[in-house]
Amino acid sequence: MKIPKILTLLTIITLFVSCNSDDPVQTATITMNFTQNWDGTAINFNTIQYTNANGEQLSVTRLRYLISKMELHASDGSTVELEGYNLIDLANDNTLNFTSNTVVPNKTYTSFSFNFGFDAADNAENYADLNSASWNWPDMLGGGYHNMQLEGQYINNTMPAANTYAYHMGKALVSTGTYEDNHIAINLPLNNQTFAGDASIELKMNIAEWFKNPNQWDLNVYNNALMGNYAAQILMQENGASVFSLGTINP
Amino acid sequence: MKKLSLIIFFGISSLSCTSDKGTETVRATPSPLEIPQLFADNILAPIIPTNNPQTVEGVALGRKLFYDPILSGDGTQSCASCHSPQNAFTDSDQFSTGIDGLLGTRNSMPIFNMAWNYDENFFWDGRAFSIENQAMQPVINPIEMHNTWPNAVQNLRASSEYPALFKAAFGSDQIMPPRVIQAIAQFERTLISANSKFDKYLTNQGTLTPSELNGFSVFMDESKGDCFHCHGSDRNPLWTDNIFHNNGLDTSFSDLGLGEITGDPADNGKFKSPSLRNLAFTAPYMHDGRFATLDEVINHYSEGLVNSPTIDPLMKNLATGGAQLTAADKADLKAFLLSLSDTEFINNPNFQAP
Ligand code: HEC
Ligand code: HEC
Repeated sequence: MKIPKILTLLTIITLFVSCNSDDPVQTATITMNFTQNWDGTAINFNTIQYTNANGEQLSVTRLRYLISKMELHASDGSTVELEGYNLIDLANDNTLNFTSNTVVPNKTYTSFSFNFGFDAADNAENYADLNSASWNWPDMLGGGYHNMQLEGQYINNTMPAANTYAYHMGKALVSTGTYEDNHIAINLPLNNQTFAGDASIELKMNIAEWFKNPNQWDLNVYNNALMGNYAAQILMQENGASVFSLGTINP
Repeated sequence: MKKLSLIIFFGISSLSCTSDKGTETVRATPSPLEIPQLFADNILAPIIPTNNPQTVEGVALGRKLFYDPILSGDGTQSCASCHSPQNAFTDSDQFSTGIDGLLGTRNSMPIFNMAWNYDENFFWDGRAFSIENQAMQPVINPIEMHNTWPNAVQNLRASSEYPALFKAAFGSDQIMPPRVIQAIAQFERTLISANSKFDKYLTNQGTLTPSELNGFSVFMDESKGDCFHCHGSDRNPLWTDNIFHNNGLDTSFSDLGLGEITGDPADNGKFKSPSLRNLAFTAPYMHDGRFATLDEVINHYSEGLVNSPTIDPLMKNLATGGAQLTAADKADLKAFLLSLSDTEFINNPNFQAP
């Protein structure tokens, strides 16, 4: 039983090696570059320096978010998934790029899609790297993992001192034992994009959009303990739709 | 299959033979860390430097060194003086006293599950990178063991026992500081704690009381304790994120913590989150040992938080000092925290003075 397996493996390897040397079909691996801005300005940490749509001034002291199921859709109707997921942590430069092992066929691509957070099936798995990063979403709120942790301080003209906010997104608790999967499926158009060799795609997050569109976010109402707050989770879900766009593509 | 694996085996062993030719080193006996199933199932593998693999002889030497006052300036103090097994390898003083009777300014830290500190930042302020480098410091710290490394290795070389032990562990009886700290680090990596009452509950070998279970809910509930964002969970059984935070102890800082190391004012007042394992043995608490009891710690998070420019955003309700837990929730939270203590760990015969 085991010998055939090894033989098959060897055969495959041999075939693969020979394929590589003869085959003229060009393929590429894709590196995703994750960047963040506040209405177009590159994001700076810690100092209170941004004003949201509702007029509160705020800082960003921590930002982590999970991107999964990254897919390129070709004009012939086929789809290639860039295997893997990435937890972006602005405190760790290594996480700002992600190179998938997937080899992307040389086709014309018309859109790029991904999930912000995990979809229900992926969210049910156990991930050692994410557990080690304390990325879990509590079981009492349905378990799985966070989509995002956006944290900082905010002030407005009437406040005596800065207050803290923790904009954490994940499953939405409807009532004890009932949850809604709360990832965001996002699809962004590509203009008949081809990739000649190894390529990179920039995925931009405009943090200001989390506070703006379509729901003007009021930090005086929604600042902390939002994880179990169904209304807040749904507002996040709605605002998340306009947060992402594609930036520089190096084909 | 057997034949094939034999061929592969010979192939590999002949390869390694050729690369070994010429060196006549005595090989120490490999002794890989025994990774608890709970850790293997949930978190990433421990960090073991490739140039310092765990060996039986290395661990034994490290254990002897850890307990031996020979490393201190006047031969009176060992690592264990401030890192005692009965205290989960910390001590019960607010500040520890060095060989010259001088008092430090920080509370000693417990030592366990060190190989799972993935960022490898050690000390309250993270100033030492890697377990090996950390061990360099106490020996020469003037308010601790107050020795010099040349003097320390000279005493080891002059001893009747150590040269043979270094030879067994590292293949050479040349005693150098890097070998000393490698041996100590090997011993420290074996100090694994994963047998608390709560671990047994998670691995279906035991149950919890209703109070402990509710305490765990308080710990996990963002609108109550909200401890899990920094102190681990059932899926991160280290019970720490090993990251630096300002948890609202002071409005201004006499000890800058991480800020002293990075020079960035945005890091002032940040200290490494300690693991919540073994709290039953590690009082007093916080980097300066300011709280003698767990009740004081819980009251701090419930009513005692104070604001400062670098406060962690997870510290909420600052105007009222915190989560305002009920007396019942506080008692349950404490019961849960104590269920993370691991008596088998502190009594493990392999960890005691040799
Ligand atoms: C005089 C008391 C004292 C002695 C002796 C001492 N330590 Fe410590 N140890 C401390 C204190 C205090 C800290 C925290 C200091 C700080 O953060 O600035 C500490 C921190 C540590 C840490 C950091 C743990 C972590 O999780 O970051 C390790 C590891 C450690 N000591 C190992 C040792 C070893 C090994 C020795 C012997 C070579 C030793 N210590 C000797 C008091 C002592
Ligand atoms: C923002 C991250 C964060 C949160 C949330 C948090 N802690 Fe901490 N905790 C820390 C840090 C950092 C320290 C060390 C602070 C210092 O010494 O200056 C600490 C220290 C402790 C200690 C002292 C341990 C020791 O060995 O000295 C205990 C106990 C503790 N926390 C329990 C809790 C509990 C219970 C909760 C929830 C009510 C909680 N923590 C919430 C970061 C946090």
